[in-house]
Order: sequence, then structure tokens, then C-alpha cells
Amino acid sequence: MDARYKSLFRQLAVPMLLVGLMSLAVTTYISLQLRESIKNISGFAVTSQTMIQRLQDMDKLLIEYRAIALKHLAAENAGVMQQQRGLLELYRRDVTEIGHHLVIEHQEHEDVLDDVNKLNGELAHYFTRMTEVLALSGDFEKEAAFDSFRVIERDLYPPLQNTLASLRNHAMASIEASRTALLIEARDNQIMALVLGVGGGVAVILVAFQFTRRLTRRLQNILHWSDQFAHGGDSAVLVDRRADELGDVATAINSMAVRIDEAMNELKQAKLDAEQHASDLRVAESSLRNLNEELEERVRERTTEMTRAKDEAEKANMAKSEFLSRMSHELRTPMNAIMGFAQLLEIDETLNADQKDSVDEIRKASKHLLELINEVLDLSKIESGKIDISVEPLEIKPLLREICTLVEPMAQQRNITLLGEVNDCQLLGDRTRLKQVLLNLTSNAIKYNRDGGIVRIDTLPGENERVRISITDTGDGIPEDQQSELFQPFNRLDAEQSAIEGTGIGLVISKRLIELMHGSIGMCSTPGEGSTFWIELPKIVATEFSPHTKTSIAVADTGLSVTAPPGAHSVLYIDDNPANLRLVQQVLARYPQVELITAQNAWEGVDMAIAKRPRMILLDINMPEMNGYEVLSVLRGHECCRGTPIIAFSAAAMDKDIARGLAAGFDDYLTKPLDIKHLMTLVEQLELPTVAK
Amino acid sequence: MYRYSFTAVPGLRLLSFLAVLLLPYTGHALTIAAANSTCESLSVVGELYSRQHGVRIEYICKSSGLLAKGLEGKAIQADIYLSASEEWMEKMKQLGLLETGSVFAPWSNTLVVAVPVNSPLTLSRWEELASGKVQHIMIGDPGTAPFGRYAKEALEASKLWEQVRVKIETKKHITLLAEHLAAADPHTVGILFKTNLGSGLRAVLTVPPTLHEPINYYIGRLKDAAEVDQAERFLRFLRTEEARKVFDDAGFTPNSP
Repeated sequence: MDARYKSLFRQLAVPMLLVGLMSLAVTTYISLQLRESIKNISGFAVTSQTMIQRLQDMDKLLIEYRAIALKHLAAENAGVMQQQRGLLELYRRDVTEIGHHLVIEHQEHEDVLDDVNKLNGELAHYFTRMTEVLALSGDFEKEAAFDSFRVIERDLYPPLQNTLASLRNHAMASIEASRTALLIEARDNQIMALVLGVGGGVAVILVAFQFTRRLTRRLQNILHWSDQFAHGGDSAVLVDRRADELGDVATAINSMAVRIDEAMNELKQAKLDAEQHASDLRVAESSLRNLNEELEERVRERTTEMTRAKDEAEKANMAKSEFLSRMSHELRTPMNAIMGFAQLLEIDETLNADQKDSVDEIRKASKHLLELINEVLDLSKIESGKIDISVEPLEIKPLLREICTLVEPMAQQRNITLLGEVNDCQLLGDRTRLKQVLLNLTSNAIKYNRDGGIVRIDTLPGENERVRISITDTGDGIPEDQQSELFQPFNRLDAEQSAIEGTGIGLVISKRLIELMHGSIGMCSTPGEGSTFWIELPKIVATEFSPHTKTSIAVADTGLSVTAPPGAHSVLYIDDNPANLRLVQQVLARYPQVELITAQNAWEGVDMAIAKRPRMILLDINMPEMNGYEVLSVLRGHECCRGTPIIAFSAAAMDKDIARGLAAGFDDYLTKPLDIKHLMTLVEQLELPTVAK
Repeated sequence: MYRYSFTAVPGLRLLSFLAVLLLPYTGHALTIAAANSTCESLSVVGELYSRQHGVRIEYICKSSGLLAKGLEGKAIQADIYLSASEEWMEKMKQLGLLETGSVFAPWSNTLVVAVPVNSPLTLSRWEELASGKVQHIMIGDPGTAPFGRYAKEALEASKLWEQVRVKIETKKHITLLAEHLAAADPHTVGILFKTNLGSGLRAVLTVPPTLHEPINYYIGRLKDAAEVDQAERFLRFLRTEEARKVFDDAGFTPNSP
């Protein structure tokens, strides 16, 4: 490398390093000096501290010495005095020793040494005199001893104390002086450090300033040249002859300038070509942008339309649910009448065979209609989230046995065999709703089966601690393309054309209910061989399950068999709906010994109950002035009816309605449409005397 | 003002009450400050004198040195001072507290070595005090009690002092020593006046009289006596045969009048 070459780093770093080293050297020197002087000062302070300690010890020993000497003077016993004498000798020796220590320690402090020598002299004199006193005292010359002691206390002890005090003051003063000296030393050093710091800082700043100024000047030179070059000035050579990085830069720039000149010429030609291309491109880009904007606008419009359509569809769906719900309620009321009277006709023995068939048709049709209404109601309740699901542990075997019992008659009609393997296990579900689902699936399996077919009900272990209940039929099966529509409402596939009864929403309800129970439902089918519908519900693993025994609503347990006062065989029926009144009238007409009293409103009913004391009261829940619950509490509050069976009679037929009624104090709960047989059972349980018809 | 009178009046009332009570005694009693060893016999003589002259006599009985110091410091007020040693009497004379002409030595006493009455200890010679038989020697405080001074003098004269010093225990006055000695162990002896043995002690040895100064009692009237005439009359009564006999019976040796 060129010997003259000095890099920028060296140009800056070398002076800075020199300044730094100088500061470091001076600082080290000062701090060493400070350390030395602090050592001296603190050594002196320690000596003084020791002296104070020694003087204090001496003072204490002297006080003790005098106290013992006084005891010696007062003693009357030679033995006691001997002991005290020994002790006093020890004290004397200790004090003298401290005196010697002081001399040795302060050999070099002449100002103190005088006082220390004086103190030792006084001590020696004091002890000599005290020894004389003690000798007198030991010789039982107490008077003389006391006299001498008094003289010593008066003449010798105070000067001794003064010397002690003066030494102590001296030591204290020198400690104070050390402290002050230290403070001054510290302050001086601080100032020195400040001066050094500031000086060093200024030097560094100066060096840096000088360097930067030079650098800037050279950079400006380069910049100025570059500027001129950029603006197409004459391409004179950039001059910077110093042998360092900037010099290198200048050289590099010079060679670059040559290359740039060449490139510029090429570029000029290329630019002309490019400009032509660019104008072509601009035209194309503008037309593309227009097209894009148009497209975006159309997408926006379509999205808005779709959102509106979706909202409308949702609204329509809501309206449909609400309409169905309302309509179903409206439909249920007339259905009561239809079914009730059909039932009455059915048990009428005067009807001929044709008429009976007709009545059977009416009853079946209305039953179907009622089922449909109920299911629509259920679905709308589920969809509006108004349904209550109470999940509890369930024994699966009894549940399925119950289902079998229920569908057995239906299966027998079509000569269908019920088979299955059911394991003992427990699952989590809502009992009523699960029953509803299983009943729906099983009755479907029977309905859509061939005559003389088979329905299998099996339990299988499912995935993830679940139990699968599968119901398999031997019907026609469902084609694959239709399977996906199965769980849609009102989709009976092609069953509309068949003679099979069905509402078309049973599976939808089942699906919703099972999902509410955190289960799943599904199916598979082979056309021509049959279908399998299954549900899966969470299984209970624990074996120590104790079934939740629900209070059974058995009529026999509700105390209906009260012994009535003779002659009172009336049944009071309170309802504002004349259709229902007439139906009940006709049922009770079968019991000649029963007199039916009816009331058209709540108040009339209460009056009648009090006046007539009936054997049983049928009470409608939904009445205008006062509802059934209020009437019940009035009646129960009166002595007329405290023990009288009071039966609720209501269109509110949900399980929770029934439970509420029983909890409120009704003895039983009849739902509308009227289950005539249930009513007849209740009347018969009154054990009325039989009267010939 | 109100507060001052409230607190001061009861005090004044109490003072005047005491003054009335003390009046007959301060006025007509003769007070004698006497060395302990003489008190018993002196009170017998005093009884005789009181009966004859109708004067009540009060006694202040302490060691001679203590009485001298008390009188010097005006802590004691008396008409007559009776000392058991010449030393204290000389001191009182020097202090100018005594009517020098009135001083005389009516009796002398004897120093004995004594032990408790039931102690088996026997001594045949004075030098036996230095032997192992004797472990403790009770003497009067040589500084204030003359019987202690005489004892120390005797022990020093016979060159026994340095040997027996470790056995020494001093007592402030003679009655105290007698009491303590009576309750002491069999190895303890005491040196005291023959006249003060009492019932608890018995003498085992008489201290050779050559070893100490003669034990003379000195009596004299104090200069600031309140009852000068009565005091003079009582001092004269002491020279009578009647009074001398009382002291003779008690073991003192009456000096020739």
C-alpha cells in the first residue's frame, strides 16, 4: 500500500485516541493521589477513634476503682479487704497498661504525646497515693485512710479528669478535622474531574469539528462536480488528489463519468423507442380500466339484489312459521269438536256397519290432521327456539320396549315383524322428545315397509362415546338422488301419490330435536332392499347411574277415591266454550247416576261449586275473566272443595303445561281434544253407586 | 397569697404543738453524751442523782469518737461529755469545746479477751491469739472506739499485729461487738472491756496492762452546756463514795479522787 495513504478512519481516530489516552493518564494519576491522601486521613481518624475508646475504657476503670476503694475503706473484715485489694490491683494494672498503649500509639503525634505523658504521670501519682490509703485502711486505720482519700479526691482526681477530657477533646477534634479534610479532598477531586471531563470533551469536539469541516469541504467539491455533470456541464476531470477513501471515490467517479457519457448516448436512442411504446400502452390501459369499473359496478348491483332477496326470503320464512303456528292453533279448536263427536259416535251402539266405517274414516282423518297440526306446531316452536329440551340420563332398553308396545298394533295390521338386538346402556337425552323421534322413525319404518316385512331396531356403539340406535326396514328404499331431500320440510318424496299417511315434517322435527340433544341423525338406503335410519346420542360411561325417578302421574294416587256424602253425585264442569260443554255432557250422559252441572264462566262456576258441593270439578284453564289456576286457588280456599277432585281441562297439552297444572294442585290433567276414555276412567273412579240404565 | 396561707398554717400549728410538748424536757433535763461502755453504770448513778436532786437525766450512748464528732458538728447537744479514751478528750479540749477545768478521770477499765459463754476455747497466753486455735478476732474500730485502739496498741506492742491482722474484724462500738461475739463460732474471740461482757460472754484472758496506755475515762462539762449548774453538781456527785461504789461494782477501777 502507498505509504502516504491515510484512511479517513486513521485521520479521525488517531487524534481522538491521543486525547483519550491523555485524559486517562491524568485521571489515573489524580485518583491514585486521592487514594493515598484518603488512606492517610482515615488512618489518622482510626487512631483518634482508638484513643477515644481507650480513654473511655480508662475512665470506666477508674470509676470502678474508686468505687471498690470506697468499699475497702468501709470494710470491717480483713478477709474482705484482702479480696478487694486484689481486685483494685487488677484495675490499677489495666489502667496503667492503657496508658502505655497510648504512649506507644501516639509516639509520632507530639502534640498528643505531651498530654499522654502528663496523664501517665498523674495516674502514677494517683495510684501511689491510693496505695498508701489502702494500706492505712487495711491496717484498720479507717479515719486516717478516709482523710487521705478525701484529699486525693479533692486534689488529684480532678486534674486527672481534666487531662483525660483534654485528650478526648483532642481526639474528637482530629476526627472532625479528618472528616473536613476528606470533604475538601473529595470536592477538589470533583472539580478536577469536571475540568478534565470538560477539557477532554472540548478537545474531542475540536478534533471532530476540524475533521468534519475538511471532509465536508471535499464532499462539497465532489457534489458540486456531480451537479455540474448531471446538468450536462463540461465533463472536466474531478480533482481530489489526497490519498484516502475520498480520493478513491473521486477516481472512481471519474471513470464512471466516462462510462456514463457512453451509456447516455445509447439511452437517448432507447428512450425514443420507449416513448412510442408507452403511448400505445396508455391507450390500452385506459380502455381496460373502463371495462373493469363497469364489471365492479355490476357485481355491486348483483350483491345488493341478492342481499335483498335473502332478507325477503328470511322474512317470508318467518312469516310462514308464524302463519303455520297461528293457523295450527286455530285448527286445533275445531279439531277438538270433530274428534270428540267422532269418538262419541264410535261408541254409539246404535250405528250400523256403514255408518261405523264412515265414523272411523272421520276419526282417522281427523287424527291425521291433528297429528299434522301438532307437528307443524312443533316445528315452528323448534324453529323459533321456543322448545325446552331437558337432557337427562335414560335407560335405553325400557324406552325401546315402550316404543315397540306402541307400534306393535300398527305392525300387526301389516303383518310386519319387529326384531332387534338391544344392549343395556344409558344415554343422555330428553325422554319425551327422544320417544317422539324414535316413534316417528319406527312408524315410518312400518309405514314405508312392504306387507309381511321386517323392522329391526338395534343399538350399536357409535363414535366418540355415543350410542347408535338404528331402525332398518325392508321397504323399497330411497334412491340416492332423493336422500338429500329427506330432511327438508314437507318433502314426502313421492309418497304424496301413495296411500301412506304422513305429514312430511316428521323427519325434519326429528333432525332438529336430535340436534338439540347434541346428537346426530342420518340414513342409508339401497333401493329395492330397504333403508336404515339411525340416531346417535352421547352415552353414559359410569355404571353407578341411578335413574331419575319422575313422579308418575297415576290417577289412583291422587286421592280421587274420596267417600262422598250420600246423595251428592254431581260433576261440575266450568268452561266458556259451548262445544266442549256439549261433548262432556254427552260423555257423562252414559252415567245416569251422575248429574252434570255446567257453568259458562269462572264466577258462576265458583258460586255453583259452593252451592252444590259437586263430587268432581272439571275446570277449563283458559277463561276470559279468571283463569283456571285462579279459580283453583279460590276453590281450594273454600271449605266446599278442599277434598274435591279438581281436574284441569285445557288445550295447553305440552308436558310442562301438565306438570305446571299438577304442581298447582290439580288432581289430574285432561288435554283437549278430550280423551274420552280418560274422562270415563276418572268418573268411574268416583265409585258411584250403580244405577240401572 | 391565698395559697401560701393555706399550706403554711398547718405546718406552723404542728411546730408550735411540738414545742409545747418538748418544753419541760429541754428546760430541766441534764444531757450526758457518754461512751457506750459506761452507759449502764452511769444510768445507775444518774438514777441516784435524779432521786436526790429531782432532775431528769438523758443519755446519748455512742462510741467516744462518734460523740466527739457529733458534738463538734453540733449534731448532738449535751451538757457533759464522757470519753473512754484520753485521745478523744484531748481532741475535744483542743477544739475548745470543753471547760478544761472541769475535766477529770474518775475510773479506769481493764481489757480482756472474751469468747461466747458456751465456747470450749481456752487461752493461757496472749501470744496464743496468733495460733490456729483462733481464727477470727473481733476488736473495736481503732479509728473511733477506744477499746479497739487499746487492743490494736496491745497487739502491735507484742509484735502480734502483722500476724493476726488477717483474722481481724472491727465493730463500730462495744455493745455491737458484744452482741456479735455472743453469737459467733468457737474459733472466734473478741477483745473488749471487762465491764461490757454481759451474760453472753466470758473472759478467757486479761490483756497484759503493760501492752497499752492506761484505760482512763475522762469526763468534763461542755462549754455550751445549757444546764451549767446542774452539770457541775453532777460532776461533783460522781466523786462521792456512793457513785464510785456503783462503778466499782460494775468492774471499773475508781481512781483516787
